[in-house]
Amino acid sequence: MRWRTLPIELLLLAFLAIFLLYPLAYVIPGAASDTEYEVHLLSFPESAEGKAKVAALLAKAAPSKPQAIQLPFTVQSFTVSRNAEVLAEQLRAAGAGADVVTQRHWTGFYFRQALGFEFARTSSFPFFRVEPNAPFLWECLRNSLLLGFLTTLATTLLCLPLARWLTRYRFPGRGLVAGLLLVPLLMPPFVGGIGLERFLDRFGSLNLVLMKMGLLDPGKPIDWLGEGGFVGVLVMQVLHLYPILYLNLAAAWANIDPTLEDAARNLGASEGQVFRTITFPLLLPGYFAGASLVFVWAFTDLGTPLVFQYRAVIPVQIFDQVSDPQRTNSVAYALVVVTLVVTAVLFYAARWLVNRRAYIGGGKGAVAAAVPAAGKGRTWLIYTTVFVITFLAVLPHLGVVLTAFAERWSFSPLPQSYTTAYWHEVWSNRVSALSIRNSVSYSLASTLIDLVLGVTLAWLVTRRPSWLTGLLDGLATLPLALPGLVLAFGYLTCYSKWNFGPAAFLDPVQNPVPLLIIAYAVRRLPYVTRSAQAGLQQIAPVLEEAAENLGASRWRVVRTVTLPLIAANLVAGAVLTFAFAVLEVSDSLMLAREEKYFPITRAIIGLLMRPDDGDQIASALAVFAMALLGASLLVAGLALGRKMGEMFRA
Amino acid sequence: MTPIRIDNVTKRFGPTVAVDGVTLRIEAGELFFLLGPSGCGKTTLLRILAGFVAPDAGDVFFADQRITQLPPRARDAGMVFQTYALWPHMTVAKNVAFGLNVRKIKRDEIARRVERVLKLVRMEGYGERRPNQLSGGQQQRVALARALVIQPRVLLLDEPLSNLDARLRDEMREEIRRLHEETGLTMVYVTHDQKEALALAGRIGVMERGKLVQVGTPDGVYRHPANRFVAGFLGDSNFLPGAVKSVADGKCTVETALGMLTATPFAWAPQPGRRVVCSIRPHDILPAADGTGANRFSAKVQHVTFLGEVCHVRLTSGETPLLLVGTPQQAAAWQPGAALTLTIAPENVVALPEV
Repeated sequence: MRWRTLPIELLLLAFLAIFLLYPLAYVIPGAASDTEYEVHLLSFPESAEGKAKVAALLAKAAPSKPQAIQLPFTVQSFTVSRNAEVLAEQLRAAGAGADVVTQRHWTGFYFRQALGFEFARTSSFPFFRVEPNAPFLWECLRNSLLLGFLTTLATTLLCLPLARWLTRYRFPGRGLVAGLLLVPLLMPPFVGGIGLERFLDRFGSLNLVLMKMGLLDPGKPIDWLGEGGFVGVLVMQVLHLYPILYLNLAAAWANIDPTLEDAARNLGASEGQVFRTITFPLLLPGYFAGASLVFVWAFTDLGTPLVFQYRAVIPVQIFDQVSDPQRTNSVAYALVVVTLVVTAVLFYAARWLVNRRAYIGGGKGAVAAAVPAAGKGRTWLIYTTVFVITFLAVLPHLGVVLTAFAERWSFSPLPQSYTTAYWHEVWSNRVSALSIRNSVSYSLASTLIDLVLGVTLAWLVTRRPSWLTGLLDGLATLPLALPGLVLAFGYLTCYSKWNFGPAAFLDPVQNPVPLLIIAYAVRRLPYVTRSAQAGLQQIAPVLEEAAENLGASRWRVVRTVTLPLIAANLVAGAVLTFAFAVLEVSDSLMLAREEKYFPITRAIIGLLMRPDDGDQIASALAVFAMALLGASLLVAGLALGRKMGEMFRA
Repeated sequence: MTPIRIDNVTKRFGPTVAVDGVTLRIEAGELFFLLGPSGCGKTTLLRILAGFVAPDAGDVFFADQRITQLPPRARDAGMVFQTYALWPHMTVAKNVAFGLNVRKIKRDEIARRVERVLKLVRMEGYGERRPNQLSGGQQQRVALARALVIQPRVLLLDEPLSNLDARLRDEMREEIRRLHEETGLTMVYVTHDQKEALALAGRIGVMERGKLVQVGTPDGVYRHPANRFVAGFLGDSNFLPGAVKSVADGKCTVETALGMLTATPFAWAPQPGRRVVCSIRPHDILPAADGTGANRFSAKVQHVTFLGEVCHVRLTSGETPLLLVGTPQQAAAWQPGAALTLTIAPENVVALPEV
């Protein structure tokens, strides 16, 4: 019976190969090689007039004229194919036979450029020295790594106590507190950047309040956002990403049998020793899974640095290189490969660690019963911490809302007067109105694709486990960690060249819509797969077997038993997919380059660059996006309940 | 060798009283059992001894030291957990060495002591294994070794055999008896399995709904239960309610459904007219061989269940159902419907207060 599902499995594999693996693999030759376009002269024209023209062209192309020309003769090499085509065309016009031949040279040059440093040998210990060769890119790499590292560190320090409190203590309102902790997930960080700047700028609300109180000299405002916005980006990322780590940590913590910790205490270990020797090692796989996600997301975030106009990070460099199609962007390829390698190593290391350390937890039933009530002091500590952190996470977005409804807001902590004009402008402004329509239709289409693919995949993985479905599962979860930037870059470079036959409709330069929809779908596929899987795992296969036993066909079983039972999970997965597709940043920024194709996120960035009322319309559009996302998550949360957290675990 | 004293300890969880005013002395070197059904508070009492639960009232002493407020790590009370709680990320040797590492003992001393204790629990050669590579019985031995290696003042065992299959359970029972004899430690052993308690215990404390209802030797609590609950929890029993007619030198005459029975009240003295319950163990009902014997009555065989070593015989005497446990040889002759004359020795009819 097993082989009957094979065609479906192969179809899924083909889809993932074409739209996930191929674009990623495509980037590597681009990064590791130089392409040269050589114009070859194949034959001379008959007429003397033509010969003269060719001779003139040859003289121009190669001033040191060789004595004897042997056909075919390489006239000139170009790095840009169009220039080569122009010369070949001129030669042909003169009546000569000419051709353009593509030559590929393998080189590590661009990698060295992308890393921005080389290892130089030295005679003494440690026998090498890091030598910057592209100082700016070297700085970008360091900034990005530092951003990833500091974000991970800050979220760790924040989430360790939070996860412990919420899994190891009972207190009134625990469900509500756990819900509050997830709020930042529905706050797109690049949008928050607008608000944060409002508050923390040199003449932002905080400095103005301090000046008014006489604590700050108006001549020397404090630059809270740090040099060029590094601190601003960091703060936004920490405030946005901590729920990811919290969810992973809390799940790992809940899986640790408390008697394992009790046993250590019983043998004389102090609380510090218990944490160091027992709790943390057991927590490590879950922690690493969450931390690697946080690191990768911070490392590859494009939207937030763009809003802060902070350009010295890798993602912005990739974006800038691609923005300029005339430039040979082999360095961009190499930058993408570097990002991809960092991501893939972390992601699969986390998976490996989780699987290797998948201990069977004993006495799960006893865990829930043994949770002690938190004391009064601790309860208030929990309330205060969660409230403060949630407030901080919401604050930037409050700034966005204020900006959207501010009529006049300059040199005052809060707007001087309010208006709904910009809110209405969202619907009348050509760019923003179109972007809403675009976003909704792209996202709907990608959600449909995900539903079909995700349910099929989840069913195969849970009901027909084999090495092939295992491989499919491994591939389909990769997008959880895969930066949108990398995927979009792969799409952009690889399908731009597919201008043959029916495949030409994928060409993003002609029309980016099909690829945008597929990019959204691939990136959010894990959400549907996981929610469907969670549902399927709860349905005992006997329920399906009972229907089969009564004579129902396989398809009828799925339709009448399976699908209705997992409907809630599917709704949740679909809504999440839709919501996050609407808020997708890097794919949209990279692929949608013409105004008529702009989705909401691209329109917001575009409007921000506009003088005058750009900020306000962008904010109003962002408020609309947040409302849409918030409503969607609410629906998903209601449908999925406590299972919601599983969506964001590595 | 440390005696334990529990003074009037009470612990509430919300509205439920888990431990209700328990006072108990456990002698040095004793193997003491806390026996009771699930939810009776025995595990809570053990966790109070270990320091994981703080009592709302009362005090706990190890020898003369008051330990009520001491954190678990300062108590030197080795504990064996129901789920063993072996750390899955450490090898057997690391698990066992943990308590010694915490005590900052020298490395070669640790190695020596780990080896010795693994030999004591017959697990030498398993030091480099991971817990998930061991069988249930082996994990149990490692858990014992881990608790013993720190040379604790007392050893606390929380249902240590409940996760093992029947055969292993018998084996480990003997193992624990041997370890108790070799180490001479004061041990407190919590279980709901009365067979385990009867087989191993020096003394048993039976708990019911947070209260310690009886403390005594296995023989004592089995043969002379303090109330109907203890009698029923320690083994099958026939309960016959009735009223005391007369009392004479330590015996009383009770009017029951079987007629007048001469019964023995232990450690209490009912007055005539008092309502009591007579508890009769099924193996104490004997065929009246030659027409003599006290407490004679007749009954009819309903059903015989063959169980190997013994047979369970369901009887009725008038309207009253009774259970008799006899040898297969006896039962072979008893067909359903057969009429028997039976007798029970007066000291085996235990008169208990009816609550």
